[in-house]
Amino acid sequence: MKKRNLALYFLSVLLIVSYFLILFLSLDTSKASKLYNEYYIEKTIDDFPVGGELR
Amino acid sequence: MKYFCKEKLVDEKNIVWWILGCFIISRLIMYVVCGFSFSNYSLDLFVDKINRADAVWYRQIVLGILNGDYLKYAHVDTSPYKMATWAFFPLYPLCVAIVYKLLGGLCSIYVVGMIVSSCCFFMAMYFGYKYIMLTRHEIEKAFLYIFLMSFGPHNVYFFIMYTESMFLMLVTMAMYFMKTKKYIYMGICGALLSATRNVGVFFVLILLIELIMENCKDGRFSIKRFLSENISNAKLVFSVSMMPLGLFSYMVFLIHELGDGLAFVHVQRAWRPNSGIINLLHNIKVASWEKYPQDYLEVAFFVSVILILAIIVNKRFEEAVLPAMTLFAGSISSFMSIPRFMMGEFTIMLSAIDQIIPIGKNKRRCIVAILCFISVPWIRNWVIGNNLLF
Repeated sequence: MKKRNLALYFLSVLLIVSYFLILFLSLDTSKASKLYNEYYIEKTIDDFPVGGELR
Repeated sequence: MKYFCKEKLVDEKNIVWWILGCFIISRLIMYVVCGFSFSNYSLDLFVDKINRADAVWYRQIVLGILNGDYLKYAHVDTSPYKMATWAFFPLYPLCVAIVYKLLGGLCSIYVVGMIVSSCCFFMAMYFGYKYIMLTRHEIEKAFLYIFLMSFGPHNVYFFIMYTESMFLMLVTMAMYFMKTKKYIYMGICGALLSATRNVGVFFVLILLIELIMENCKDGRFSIKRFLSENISNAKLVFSVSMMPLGLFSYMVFLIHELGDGLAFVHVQRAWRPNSGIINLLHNIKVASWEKYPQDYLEVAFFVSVILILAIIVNKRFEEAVLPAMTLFAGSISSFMSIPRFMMGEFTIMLSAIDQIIPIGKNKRRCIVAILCFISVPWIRNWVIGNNLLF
């Protein structure tokens, strides 16, 4: 097998493993700040204009 | 590359002029239509009026990038609706910010956004032509595709500060490279696609269907042959693994900035208060049975379904994947933005053209004239603020 192909396979495995790691880190939202949970999300969801008009 | 069309030699140079001509004339029409809608009309007013809805969000994101406070907590009070902006994927605003910096602030952010969109649209049309010649071998379809994308309804989205042009360009290029088996280029386009919009990551499914179709050429599907042929192709494996890179890079950024890598999913609740298959079925029932007459968005939904079915009937399954996924993901909450999403999918307009071309010259001219005529009140309603056109 050519060295270039080996390098491509290695990079592919590396990328896929890192995707799983990122996904795993994303599922843990305990690190999300209090501001993020209470201010951003709540404010965004409560005030977002649905159908072009503010609820 | 040269193609014969009705005893007339057509080369790529002619196509470039055709794209340029369609682009310039259609944008002049937008300017004139907008001019008839406002008094004290000027170029600045045109730019201001035509860039609305999501363009305001993108402008804010570009400002955030330029000021170095993108997604920072202090930033929320300056966003258009004082709300979180992280549902919008970063590649397009990032490109606009870079071009804005390169131009040294010569033009406003909206103008730079329109320049970026226009360049992407031009590339999308060029690769659209190449894809049509590769898969359909009909120059008439290529000409009509460029014409309708420039003059047809929803052409405004490809001119203003929206991601539509960039998404269309990347989808078209990725599909062209997939068909020509230039997998590394396809992987790069796929990675950029997943950084442009969340549905971009579904391009992996297009490739999967394409590979399955190739495997079934002799009428049978063999898993063993499918795996051995494809896994032995290192470039293909690498390109597949590259495709979600844009999405996951954004997730890393969100983890770093907010502590929630899926913040772009969680914030969707703001856009989609009632979301799910039950809601979709309810919307279809209301639109097809209870309500009369149907509104514009409901008609657009059903037309999209018909065009996707037409692609499937023509056995171009790989072309049906992305519009089908986008239509499903977009309509589980409401039919809002469905026409816009569909127009940016490349193969939906291609499907319409596949239906229009065989019906004969006179009928075709009639349909094209109607579509172009519809786009005029559409542009006017866009600039005066019709909410159905978001």
